[in-house]
Amino acid sequence: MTRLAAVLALGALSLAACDTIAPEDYARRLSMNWSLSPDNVEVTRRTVESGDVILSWTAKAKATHVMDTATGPISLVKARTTFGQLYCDQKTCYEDRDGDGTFDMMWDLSRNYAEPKQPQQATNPRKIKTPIAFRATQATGAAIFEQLLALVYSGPMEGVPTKEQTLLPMLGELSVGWYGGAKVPRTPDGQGWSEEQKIPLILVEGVTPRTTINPLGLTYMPVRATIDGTLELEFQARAVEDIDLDAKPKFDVEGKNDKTPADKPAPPPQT
Amino acid sequence: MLAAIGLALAPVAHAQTSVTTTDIHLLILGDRTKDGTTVTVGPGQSVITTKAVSPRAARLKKEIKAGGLGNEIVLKEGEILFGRFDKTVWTYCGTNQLNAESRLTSGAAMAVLTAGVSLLLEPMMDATRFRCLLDADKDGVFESAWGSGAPQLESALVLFDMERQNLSAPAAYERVDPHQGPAAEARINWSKGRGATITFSLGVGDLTGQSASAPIPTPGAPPSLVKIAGTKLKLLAYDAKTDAITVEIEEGFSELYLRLNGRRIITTTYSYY
Repeated sequence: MTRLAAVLALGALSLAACDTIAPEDYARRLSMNWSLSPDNVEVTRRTVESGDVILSWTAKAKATHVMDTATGPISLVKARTTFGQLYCDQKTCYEDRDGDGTFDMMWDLSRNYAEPKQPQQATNPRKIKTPIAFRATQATGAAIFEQLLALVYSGPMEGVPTKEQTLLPMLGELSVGWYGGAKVPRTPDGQGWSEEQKIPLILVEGVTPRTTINPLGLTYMPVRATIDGTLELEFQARAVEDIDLDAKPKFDVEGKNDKTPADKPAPPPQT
Repeated sequence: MLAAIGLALAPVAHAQTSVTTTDIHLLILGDRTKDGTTVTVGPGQSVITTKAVSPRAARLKKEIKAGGLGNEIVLKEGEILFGRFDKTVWTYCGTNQLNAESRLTSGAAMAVLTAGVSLLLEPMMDATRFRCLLDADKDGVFESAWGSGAPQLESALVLFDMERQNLSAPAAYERVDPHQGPAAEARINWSKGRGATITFSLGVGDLTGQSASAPIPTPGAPPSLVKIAGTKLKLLAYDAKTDAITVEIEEGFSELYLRLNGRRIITTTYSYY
Protein backbone atom coordinates (compact mmCIF):
# COMPACT_ATOMS: atom_id res chain seq x y z
CA MET A 1 0.00 0.00 0.00
CA THR A 2 2.86 2.36 0.90
CA ARG A 3 4.48 1.64 -2.45
CA LEU A 4 1.18 2.41 -4.20
CA ALA A 5 0.94 5.74 -2.36
CA ALA A 6 4.51 6.56 -3.36
CA VAL A 7 3.75 5.77 -6.99
CA LEU A 8 0.68 8.00 -6.88
CA ALA A 9 2.62 10.81 -5.25
CA LEU A 10 5.25 10.55 -7.98
CA GLY A 11 2.49 10.66 -10.58
CA ALA A 12 1.04 13.78 -8.98
CA LEU A 13 4.49 15.40 -9.01
CA SER A 14 4.85 14.54 -12.71
CA LEU A 15 1.49 16.12 -13.45
CA ALA A 16 2.51 19.20 -11.50
CA ALA A 17 5.70 19.34 -13.57
CA CYS A 18 3.62 19.19 -16.75
CA ASP A 19 1.67 22.21 -15.60
CA THR A 20 4.83 24.31 -15.29
CA ILE A 21 5.80 24.18 -18.98
CA ALA A 22 6.27 27.76 -20.16
CA PRO A 23 3.90 28.76 -22.99
CA GLU A 24 6.84 29.44 -25.31
CA ASP A 25 7.90 25.81 -24.89
CA TYR A 26 4.60 24.30 -25.99
CA ALA A 27 4.56 22.56 -29.37
CA ARG A 28 4.23 25.23 -32.05
CA ARG A 29 2.41 25.07 -35.35
CA LEU A 30 4.70 26.07 -38.22
CA SER A 31 3.64 28.42 -40.98
CA MET A 32 6.10 29.14 -43.76
CA ASN A 33 6.01 30.81 -47.13
CA TRP A 34 5.68 28.68 -50.25
CA SER A 35 6.43 29.19 -53.94
CA LEU A 36 3.77 27.51 -56.09
CA SER A 37 4.10 26.20 -59.64
CA PRO A 38 0.79 24.99 -61.10
CA ASP A 39 0.74 21.87 -63.27
CA ASN A 40 -1.30 23.85 -65.82
CA VAL A 41 -1.20 27.60 -66.44
CA GLU A 42 -3.65 27.72 -69.35
CA VAL A 43 -7.24 28.91 -69.09
CA THR A 44 -8.98 25.56 -68.75
CA ARG A 45 -12.59 24.45 -68.64
CA ARG A 46 -13.21 21.03 -67.10
CA THR A 47 -16.06 19.00 -65.71
CA VAL A 48 -15.09 17.37 -62.43
CA GLU A 49 -16.84 15.42 -59.71
CA SER A 50 -16.81 16.37 -56.05
CA GLY A 51 -13.56 15.03 -54.64
CA ASP A 52 -11.68 15.21 -57.95
CA VAL A 53 -8.35 16.99 -58.06
CA ILE A 54 -8.87 19.90 -60.45
CA LEU A 55 -5.35 21.28 -60.38
CA SER A 56 -2.17 20.67 -58.45
CA TRP A 57 0.80 22.84 -57.57
CA THR A 58 4.36 21.92 -56.72
CA ALA A 59 4.96 23.89 -53.54
CA LYS A 60 8.47 24.72 -52.40
CA ALA A 61 9.50 26.33 -49.14
CA LYS A 62 12.83 27.86 -50.12
CA ALA A 63 15.82 28.60 -47.93
CA THR A 64 15.79 32.06 -46.38
CA HIS A 65 18.69 31.74 -43.93
CA VAL A 66 21.99 29.95 -43.49
CA MET A 67 23.50 28.61 -40.29
CA ASP A 68 27.29 28.27 -40.20
CA THR A 69 28.46 25.08 -38.49
CA ALA A 70 31.76 23.27 -38.16
CA THR A 71 30.67 20.83 -40.87
CA GLY A 72 29.63 23.60 -43.25
CA PRO A 73 26.67 25.90 -43.87
CA ILE A 74 23.15 24.55 -43.39
CA SER A 75 20.25 26.15 -45.26
CA LEU A 76 17.10 26.93 -43.32
CA VAL A 77 13.65 28.31 -44.06
CA LYS A 78 11.96 30.84 -41.83
CA ALA A 79 8.72 29.68 -40.21
CA ARG A 80 6.17 31.73 -38.29
CA THR A 81 4.87 30.41 -34.97
CA THR A 82 2.70 31.73 -32.15
CA PHE A 83 5.80 32.86 -30.26
CA GLY A 84 8.02 34.28 -32.96
CA GLN A 85 10.07 32.76 -35.72
CA LEU A 86 11.83 29.45 -36.05
CA TYR A 87 14.30 28.49 -38.79
CA CYS A 88 13.96 24.93 -40.03
CA ASP A 89 15.69 22.30 -42.09
CA GLN A 90 13.95 19.03 -42.85
CA LYS A 91 14.26 17.61 -39.34
CA THR A 92 15.18 20.39 -36.93
CA CYS A 93 14.12 23.94 -36.21
CA TYR A 94 16.27 26.55 -34.49
CA GLU A 95 15.32 29.62 -32.48
CA ASP A 96 17.04 32.83 -31.52
CA ARG A 97 15.03 33.29 -28.37
CA ASP A 98 17.11 36.08 -26.84
CA GLY A 99 17.35 37.97 -30.14
CA ASP A 100 21.16 38.25 -30.17
CA GLY A 101 21.61 36.96 -33.72
CA THR A 102 22.56 33.42 -32.70
CA PHE A 103 20.48 30.28 -32.27
CA ASP A 104 20.14 29.32 -28.61
CA MET A 105 17.29 26.78 -28.82
CA MET A 106 16.56 23.80 -31.09
CA TRP A 107 13.32 21.90 -31.75
CA ASP A 108 12.29 18.68 -33.47
CA LEU A 109 10.30 19.23 -36.64
CA SER A 110 7.29 16.93 -36.87
CA ARG A 111 5.20 16.24 -39.92
CA ASN A 112 1.55 15.28 -40.34
CA TYR A 113 1.27 11.69 -39.02
CA ALA A 114 -0.19 10.41 -42.29
CA GLU A 115 0.27 11.15 -45.97
CA PRO A 116 0.88 13.78 -47.32
CA LYS A 117 3.15 14.27 -44.28
CA GLN A 118 3.58 18.00 -44.67
CA PRO A 119 5.75 19.82 -42.06
CA GLN A 120 3.37 20.72 -39.29
CA GLN A 121 4.83 21.65 -35.93
CA ALA A 122 7.93 22.04 -33.79
CA THR A 123 8.16 20.01 -30.60
CA ASN A 124 10.60 19.18 -27.83
CA PRO A 125 12.51 22.48 -27.39
CA ARG A 126 15.94 22.32 -25.78
CA LYS A 127 18.81 24.69 -25.22
CA ILE A 128 21.88 24.71 -27.43
CA LYS A 129 25.06 24.72 -25.33
CA THR A 130 27.06 26.80 -27.76
CA PRO A 131 24.98 29.40 -29.66
CA ILE A 132 25.22 29.15 -33.46
CA ALA A 133 25.43 32.19 -35.73
CA PHE A 134 23.02 32.50 -38.65
CA ARG A 135 22.33 34.98 -41.41
CA ALA A 136 19.82 35.72 -44.13
CA THR A 137 20.59 34.37 -47.60
CA GLN A 138 21.24 36.91 -50.32
CA ALA A 139 19.82 34.99 -53.27
CA THR A 140 16.75 32.77 -53.59
CA GLY A 141 17.56 29.58 -51.77
CA ALA A 142 17.08 25.93 -52.65
CA ALA A 143 13.91 24.19 -51.57
CA ILE A 144 14.01 22.93 -48.00
CA PHE A 145 10.53 21.40 -48.30
CA GLU A 146 8.72 20.30 -51.43
CA GLN A 147 5.10 19.17 -51.30
CA LEU A 148 2.11 18.84 -53.60
CA LEU A 149 -0.83 21.15 -53.10
CA ALA A 150 -4.14 20.48 -54.84
CA LEU A 151 -7.46 22.11 -55.63
CA VAL A 152 -10.49 19.88 -55.04
CA TYR A 153 -14.22 20.43 -55.54
CA SER A 154 -15.90 19.88 -52.17
CA GLY A 155 -19.43 19.93 -53.57
CA PRO A 156 -22.44 22.18 -53.04
CA MET A 157 -23.31 23.70 -49.68
CA GLU A 158 -26.75 24.85 -50.70
CA GLY A 159 -28.62 24.92 -53.97
CA VAL A 160 -31.98 24.84 -55.64
CA PRO A 161 -32.47 21.79 -57.88
CA THR A 162 -33.81 22.32 -61.40
CA LYS A 163 -35.67 19.93 -63.70
CA GLU A 164 -32.39 19.27 -65.48
CA GLN A 165 -30.89 17.99 -62.18
CA THR A 166 -28.61 21.00 -61.96
CA LEU A 167 -28.37 23.42 -59.05
CA LEU A 168 -29.19 27.06 -59.69
CA PRO A 169 -28.49 29.15 -57.73
CA MET A 170 -25.79 27.25 -55.92
CA LEU A 171 -23.33 28.04 -53.16
CA GLY A 172 -20.50 25.54 -53.17
CA GLU A 173 -16.96 25.12 -52.03
CA LEU A 174 -13.53 24.41 -53.42
CA SER A 175 -10.80 23.22 -51.13
CA VAL A 176 -7.04 23.71 -51.29
CA GLY A 177 -4.99 21.18 -49.41
CA TRP A 178 -1.82 19.16 -49.15
CA TYR A 179 -2.02 16.11 -51.33
CA GLY A 180 0.04 12.96 -51.67
CA GLY A 181 -0.17 12.73 -55.46
CA ALA A 182 -2.05 10.30 -57.67
CA LYS A 183 -0.31 7.27 -56.19
CA VAL A 184 -1.29 8.06 -52.60
CA PRO A 185 -4.93 7.10 -52.05
CA ARG A 186 -7.27 9.51 -50.34
CA THR A 187 -9.49 7.57 -47.96
CA PRO A 188 -12.61 8.39 -45.90
CA ASP A 189 -10.56 8.64 -42.70
CA GLY A 190 -8.73 11.65 -44.14
CA GLN A 191 -5.44 10.01 -45.18
CA GLY A 192 -3.86 11.44 -48.31
CA TRP A 193 -5.36 14.90 -47.79
CA SER A 194 -4.89 17.81 -45.41
CA GLU A 195 -7.01 20.88 -45.98
CA GLU A 196 -5.44 24.35 -45.91
CA GLN A 197 -8.09 26.69 -47.32
CA LYS A 198 -11.75 26.69 -48.23
CA ILE A 199 -12.79 28.71 -51.27
CA PRO A 200 -16.42 29.70 -51.84
CA LEU A 201 -18.06 29.04 -55.16
CA ILE A 202 -21.14 30.96 -56.26
CA LEU A 203 -23.26 30.05 -59.25
CA VAL A 204 -26.16 32.35 -60.08
CA GLU A 205 -28.47 32.70 -63.03
CA GLY A 206 -27.40 35.06 -65.79
CA VAL A 207 -24.30 36.55 -64.25
CA THR A 208 -21.63 34.29 -62.84
CA PRO A 209 -18.80 36.03 -61.05
CA ARG A 210 -15.25 35.26 -62.10
CA THR A 211 -13.18 35.32 -58.95
CA THR A 212 -9.45 35.66 -58.40
CA ILE A 213 -8.12 34.57 -55.06
CA ASN A 214 -4.87 36.08 -53.87
CA PRO A 215 -2.15 35.44 -52.95
CA LEU A 216 -2.89 31.96 -54.35
CA GLY A 217 -3.04 33.37 -57.88
CA LEU A 218 -6.06 31.29 -58.88
CA THR A 219 -8.89 32.58 -61.05
CA TYR A 220 -12.03 30.48 -61.29
CA MET A 221 -15.57 30.64 -62.56
CA PRO A 222 -18.20 27.93 -62.06
CA VAL A 223 -20.31 27.25 -65.14
CA ARG A 224 -22.69 24.43 -64.21
CA ALA A 225 -23.25 22.24 -61.16
CA THR A 226 -25.41 19.15 -60.78
CA ILE A 227 -27.15 17.59 -57.81
CA ASP A 228 -24.97 14.48 -57.82
CA GLY A 229 -21.79 16.51 -57.52
CA THR A 230 -20.40 17.30 -60.95
CA LEU A 231 -19.09 20.78 -61.64
CA GLU A 232 -18.12 22.46 -64.88
CA LEU A 233 -15.47 24.98 -63.98
CA GLU A 234 -13.25 27.41 -65.83
CA PHE A 235 -9.99 28.15 -64.08
CA GLN A 236 -6.49 29.46 -64.48
CA ALA A 237 -3.57 29.39 -62.07
CA ARG A 238 -0.32 31.31 -62.24
CA ALA A 239 2.98 30.65 -60.54
CA VAL A 240 3.40 32.63 -57.35
CA GLU A 241 6.46 33.17 -55.19
CA ASP A 242 6.85 33.26 -51.45
CA ILE A 243 3.22 33.30 -50.33
CA ASP A 244 1.69 32.65 -46.93
CA LEU A 245 -1.05 30.03 -47.31
CA ASP A 246 -2.33 30.85 -43.84
CA ALA A 247 -2.90 34.50 -44.68
CA LYS A 248 -6.50 35.60 -45.01
CA PRO A 249 -7.28 35.26 -48.72
CA LYS A 250 -8.31 38.29 -50.74
CA PHE A 251 -11.05 37.81 -53.30
CA ASP A 252 -11.30 39.89 -56.43
CA VAL A 253 -14.77 39.21 -57.84
CA GLU A 254 -15.49 40.62 -61.26
CA GLY A 255 -19.01 40.97 -62.62
CA LYS A 256 -19.16 38.87 -65.70
CA ASN A 257 -21.71 37.74 -68.27
CA ASP A 258 -22.11 34.02 -68.71
CA LYS A 259 -19.91 34.24 -71.79
CA THR A 260 -16.57 32.51 -71.70
CA PRO A 261 -13.38 34.23 -72.88
CA ALA A 262 -13.70 32.29 -76.14
CA ASP A 263 -17.19 33.73 -76.66
CA LYS A 264 -16.03 37.29 -76.12
CA PRO A 265 -15.50 39.45 -79.16
CA ALA A 266 -11.87 40.09 -79.93
CA PRO A 267 -10.58 43.44 -78.69
CA PRO A 268 -10.08 46.08 -81.39
CA PRO A 269 -6.60 45.99 -82.93
CA GLN A 270 -4.19 48.44 -81.34
CA THR A 271 -2.32 50.86 -83.50
CA MET B 1 0.69 9.33 4.46
CA LEU B 2 -2.75 8.17 5.59
CA ALA B 3 -4.30 10.80 3.40
CA ALA B 4 -2.21 9.57 0.47
CA ILE B 5 -3.37 6.01 1.11
CA GLY B 6 -6.98 7.18 1.23
CA LEU B 7 -6.48 8.90 -2.09
CA ALA B 8 -4.94 5.76 -3.48
CA LEU B 9 -8.03 3.70 -2.63
CA ALA B 10 -10.43 6.08 -4.35
CA PRO B 11 -10.76 5.83 -8.14
CA VAL B 12 -9.16 8.67 -10.07
CA ALA B 13 -11.37 9.79 -12.91
CA HIS B 14 -10.23 11.76 -15.91
CA ALA B 15 -12.66 12.95 -18.56
CA GLN B 16 -11.63 13.85 -22.07
CA THR B 17 -13.96 15.46 -24.56
CA SER B 18 -13.48 15.24 -28.29
CA VAL B 19 -15.61 16.69 -31.05
CA THR B 20 -16.10 14.80 -34.28
CA THR B 21 -17.57 16.62 -37.22
CA THR B 22 -18.65 15.52 -40.63
CA ASP B 23 -20.39 17.22 -43.54
CA ILE B 24 -23.72 15.69 -44.49
CA HIS B 25 -24.93 16.32 -48.03
CA LEU B 26 -28.70 16.07 -48.29
CA LEU B 27 -31.43 16.48 -50.81
CA ILE B 28 -34.55 17.66 -49.02
CA LEU B 29 -37.45 16.27 -51.04
CA GLY B 30 -40.28 18.50 -52.15
CA ASP B 31 -43.74 17.94 -50.69
CA ARG B 32 -46.47 20.45 -51.43
CA THR B 33 -49.41 18.33 -50.27
CA LYS B 34 -49.85 20.42 -47.10
CA ASP B 35 -50.03 23.76 -48.91
CA GLY B 36 -52.81 25.95 -47.55
CA THR B 37 -53.43 23.82 -44.44
CA THR B 38 -53.34 25.10 -40.88
CA VAL B 39 -51.80 23.04 -38.08
CA THR B 40 -51.65 23.45 -34.32
CA VAL B 41 -48.60 21.76 -32.84
CA GLY B 42 -47.50 21.34 -29.25
CA PRO B 43 -44.03 21.22 -27.73
CA GLY B 44 -41.76 18.66 -29.37
CA GLN B 45 -44.06 18.27 -32.37
CA SER B 46 -42.93 19.14 -35.87
CA VAL B 47 -44.74 21.75 -37.93
CA ILE B 48 -44.19 19.91 -41.21
CA THR B 49 -42.10 16.94 -42.30
CA THR B 50 -40.69 15.48 -45.48
CA LYS B 51 -37.94 13.08 -46.47
CA ALA B 52 -34.27 13.73 -47.14
CA VAL B 53 -31.96 11.53 -49.19
CA SER B 54 -28.29 11.58 -50.05
CA PRO B 55 -27.62 13.21 -53.45
CA ARG B 56 -26.01 9.94 -54.53
CA ALA B 57 -27.08 6.30 -54.39
CA ALA B 58 -25.69 3.06 -55.80
CA ARG B 59 -27.02 -0.46 -56.34
CA LEU B 60 -24.76 -3.29 -55.23
CA LYS B 61 -24.37 -5.97 -57.92
CA LYS B 62 -22.94 -8.66 -55.66
CA GLU B 63 -23.43 -9.74 -52.05
CA ILE B 64 -20.50 -8.85 -49.79
CA LYS B 65 -19.52 -9.24 -46.18
CA ALA B 66 -17.85 -6.31 -44.48
CA GLY B 67 -16.42 -5.90 -41.00
CA GLY B 68 -14.38 -7.90 -38.56
CA LEU B 69 -14.91 -10.62 -36.00
CA GLY B 70 -18.14 -9.98 -34.14
CA ASN B 71 -19.39 -7.11 -36.26
CA GLU B 72 -19.40 -8.48 -39.79
CA ILE B 73 -22.45 -7.53 -41.77
CA VAL B 74 -23.85 -8.71 -45.08
CA LEU B 75 -24.85 -6.29 -47.79
CA LYS B 76 -27.01 -8.12 -50.28
CA GLU B 77 -27.00 -8.01 -54.06
CA GLY B 78 -29.42 -5.36 -55.28
CA GLU B 79 -29.25 -3.35 -52.07
CA ILE B 80 -29.40 0.44 -52.58
CA LEU B 81 -26.58 2.20 -50.76
CA PHE B 82 -26.57 5.91 -49.93
CA GLY B 83 -23.66 8.17 -50.84
CA ARG B 84 -21.54 9.90 -48.23
CA PHE B 85 -18.89 12.51 -49.00
CA ASP B 86 -16.20 12.57 -46.40
CA LYS B 87 -12.87 14.38 -46.60
CA THR B 88 -12.86 14.59 -50.42
CA VAL B 89 -13.95 10.96 -50.91
CA TRP B 90 -17.34 9.47 -51.85
CA THR B 91 -18.35 6.18 -50.28
CA TYR B 92 -21.64 4.28 -50.51
CA CYS B 93 -23.12 2.98 -47.30
CA GLY B 94 -25.60 0.38 -46.14
CA THR B 95 -26.45 -1.62 -43.08
CA ASN B 96 -28.10 -4.66 -41.63
CA GLN B 97 -28.97 -5.71 -38.13
CA LEU B 98 -26.49 -7.72 -36.12
CA ASN B 99 -27.79 -11.14 -35.22
CA ALA B 100 -27.89 -12.31 -31.61
CA GLU B 101 -24.67 -14.32 -31.94
CA SER B 102 -22.58 -11.47 -33.35
CA ARG B 103 -24.00 -9.05 -30.78
CA LEU B 104 -22.72 -11.38 -28.03
CA THR B 105 -19.29 -11.65 -29.66
CA SER B 106 -19.12 -7.89 -29.98
CA GLY B 107 -19.84 -7.53 -26.27
CA ALA B 108 -17.05 -9.98 -25.48
CA ALA B 109 -14.60 -8.03 -27.62
CA MET B 110 -15.49 -4.81 -25.80
CA ALA B 111 -14.91 -6.52 -22.46
CA VAL B 112 -11.46 -7.67 -23.58
CA LEU B 113 -10.53 -4.25 -24.86
CA THR B 114 -11.57 -2.47 -21.70
CA ALA B 115 -10.09 -4.91 -19.16
CA GLY B 116 -7.87 -3.19 -16.62
CA VAL B 117 -9.08 0.30 -17.30
CA SER B 118 -12.76 1.11 -17.00
CA LEU B 119 -13.52 2.87 -20.25
CA LEU B 120 -16.95 4.42 -20.31
CA LEU B 121 -18.00 5.56 -23.74
CA GLU B 122 -20.91 7.83 -24.27
CA PRO B 123 -23.07 7.34 -26.19
CA MET B 124 -22.88 3.52 -26.17
CA MET B 125 -22.70 1.94 -29.56
CA ASP B 126 -25.99 1.18 -31.22
CA ALA B 127 -26.70 -2.36 -32.35
CA THR B 128 -27.11 -1.06 -35.90
CA ARG B 129 -23.90 -0.97 -37.86
CA PHE B 130 -23.13 0.68 -41.15
CA ARG B 131 -20.52 -0.17 -43.74
CA CYS B 132 -19.38 2.21 -46.43
CA LEU B 133 -17.76 0.97 -49.63
CA LEU B 134 -15.05 2.83 -51.53
CA ASP B 135 -14.21 2.68 -55.24
CA ALA B 136 -10.93 4.59 -55.13
CA ASP B 137 -10.04 4.13 -58.81
CA LYS B 138 -13.61 4.80 -60.04
CA ASP B 139 -13.78 1.63 -62.11
CA GLY B 140 -17.27 0.66 -60.96
CA VAL B 141 -16.00 -1.84 -58.38
CA PHE B 142 -15.82 -1.31 -54.62
CA GLU B 143 -12.47 -2.48 -53.35
CA SER B 144 -12.48 -1.51 -49.68
CA ALA B 145 -14.95 -1.22 -46.81
CA TRP B 146 -15.13 1.42 -44.11
CA GLY B 147 -17.16 1.50 -40.95
CA SER B 148 -18.27 3.99 -38.40
CA GLY B 149 -18.42 3.68 -34.65
CA ALA B 150 -22.02 4.62 -34.08
CA PRO B 151 -24.63 6.25 -36.26
CA GLN B 152 -26.68 9.15 -34.99
CA LEU B 153 -29.96 7.80 -33.77
CA GLU B 154 -32.85 7.98 -36.23
CA SER B 155 -30.71 9.08 -39.15
CA ALA B 156 -29.06 6.53 -41.36
CA LEU B 157 -27.32 9.28 -43.29
CA VAL B 158 -25.11 10.54 -40.47
CA LEU B 159 -21.99 8.56 -39.74
CA PHE B 160 -18.85 9.45 -37.85
CA ASP B 161 -15.30 8.18 -37.44
CA MET B 162 -14.66 6.10 -40.51
CA GLU B 163 -12.22 3.22 -40.05
CA ARG B 164 -11.07 0.61 -42.54
CA GLN B 165 -12.88 -2.74 -42.30
CA ASN B 166 -12.44 -6.13 -43.92
CA LEU B 167 -14.24 -6.71 -47.21
CA SER B 168 -14.96 -10.29 -48.36
CA ALA B 169 -14.36 -9.53 -52.05
CA PRO B 170 -14.44 -6.61 -54.50
CA ALA B 171 -18.00 -5.91 -55.63
CA ALA B 172 -19.37 -4.16 -58.70
CA TYR B 173 -22.04 -1.49 -58.40
CA GLU B 174 -24.00 0.98 -60.50
CA ARG B 175 -25.10 4.51 -59.68
CA VAL B 176 -28.88 4.94 -59.46
CA ASP B 177 -31.33 7.80 -58.97
CA PRO B 178 -30.66 9.13 -55.45
CA HIS B 179 -34.40 9.18 -54.75
CA GLN B 180 -34.20 5.36 -54.64
CA GLY B 181 -31.79 5.50 -51.71
CA PRO B 182 -32.62 5.29 -48.01
CA ALA B 183 -34.28 8.38 -46.62
CA ALA B 184 -34.18 10.21 -43.33
CA GLU B 185 -36.95 12.39 -41.97
CA ALA B 186 -36.54 16.15 -42.39
CA ARG B 187 -38.78 18.36 -40.29
CA ILE B 188 -39.40 21.93 -39.26
CA ASN B 189 -39.25 22.10 -35.46
CA TRP B 190 -40.21 25.03 -33.29
CA SER B 191 -39.33 26.37 -29.87
CA LYS B 192 -40.36 29.38 -27.86
CA GLY B 193 -37.65 31.66 -26.60
CA ARG B 194 -37.80 33.96 -23.58
CA GLY B 195 -39.24 36.84 -25.54
CA ALA B 196 -42.34 36.94 -27.67
CA THR B 197 -40.73 35.06 -30.53
CA ILE B 198 -40.89 31.57 -31.95
CA THR B 199 -37.79 30.00 -33.48
CA PHE B 200 -38.23 27.52 -36.30
CA SER B 201 -35.42 25.17 -37.28
CA LEU B 202 -34.75 22.44 -39.81
CA GLY B 203 -33.98 19.07 -38.24
CA VAL B 204 -32.69 15.95 -39.99
CA GLY B 205 -32.02 13.07 -37.62
CA ASP B 206 -30.18 14.67 -34.74
CA LEU B 207 -28.82 17.45 -36.93
CA THR B 208 -30.10 20.99 -36.90
CA GLY B 209 -29.77 23.10 -40.00
CA GLN B 210 -31.21 26.48 -40.84
CA SER B 211 -33.24 28.41 -38.30
CA ALA B 212 -35.45 31.49 -38.43
CA SER B 213 -37.31 33.44 -35.77
CA ALA B 214 -40.64 35.21 -35.98
CA PRO B 215 -42.52 37.45 -33.53
CA ILE B 216 -45.68 36.03 -32.01
CA PRO B 217 -48.48 38.10 -33.58
CA THR B 218 -50.64 40.00 -31.16
CA PRO B 219 -54.43 39.39 -31.39
CA GLY B 220 -55.81 41.06 -34.48
CA ALA B 221 -52.36 41.60 -35.99
CA PRO B 222 -51.37 40.00 -39.31
CA PRO B 223 -49.48 36.68 -39.07
CA SER B 224 -45.69 36.56 -39.05
CA LEU B 225 -44.17 35.17 -42.23
CA VAL B 226 -41.29 32.69 -41.92
CA LYS B 227 -39.18 31.34 -44.77
CA ILE B 228 -37.08 28.33 -43.87
CA ALA B 229 -35.58 25.42 -45.82
CA GLY B 230 -37.69 26.14 -48.87
CA THR B 231 -40.97 26.42 -46.94
CA LYS B 232 -43.13 29.49 -46.34
CA LEU B 233 -45.00 29.46 -43.04
CA LYS B 234 -47.39 31.93 -41.43
CA LEU B 235 -47.26 31.99 -37.64
CA LEU B 236 -50.85 32.73 -36.65
CA ALA B 237 -50.83 32.39 -32.88
CA TYR B 238 -49.15 31.03 -29.78
CA ASP B 239 -51.29 29.65 -26.97
CA ALA B 240 -49.41 29.99 -23.68
CA LYS B 241 -51.87 27.75 -21.83
CA THR B 242 -51.26 24.73 -24.03
CA ASP B 243 -47.79 25.81 -25.16
CA ALA B 244 -48.81 25.30 -28.78
CA ILE B 245 -48.48 27.29 -31.97
CA THR B 246 -50.88 27.56 -34.88
CA VAL B 247 -49.23 27.81 -38.27
CA GLU B 248 -50.59 28.10 -41.78
CA ILE B 249 -48.42 26.28 -44.28
CA GLU B 250 -48.41 28.67 -47.19
CA GLU B 251 -45.87 26.61 -49.13
CA GLY B 252 -44.54 23.23 -48.03
CA PHE B 253 -41.10 21.86 -48.84
CA SER B 254 -39.61 22.56 -52.25
CA GLU B 255 -36.67 20.39 -53.25
CA LEU B 256 -33.49 21.81 -51.77
CA TYR B 257 -29.84 20.74 -51.62
CA LEU B 258 -28.23 21.33 -48.24
CA ARG B 259 -24.93 20.52 -46.59
CA LEU B 260 -25.30 20.21 -42.84
CA ASN B 261 -22.48 20.02 -40.38
CA GLY B 262 -22.81 16.92 -38.23
CA ARG B 263 -21.18 17.27 -34.85
CA ARG B 264 -20.87 14.68 -32.14
CA ILE B 265 -19.30 15.34 -28.78
CA ILE B 266 -17.84 12.27 -27.15
CA THR B 267 -16.89 12.38 -23.51
CA THR B 268 -14.63 9.53 -22.55
CA THR B 269 -14.17 8.94 -18.83
CA TYR B 270 -11.19 6.91 -17.73
CA SER B 271 -11.35 5.55 -14.18
CA TYR B 272 -8.13 4.22 -12.69
CA TYR B 273 -8.42 1.98 -9.60
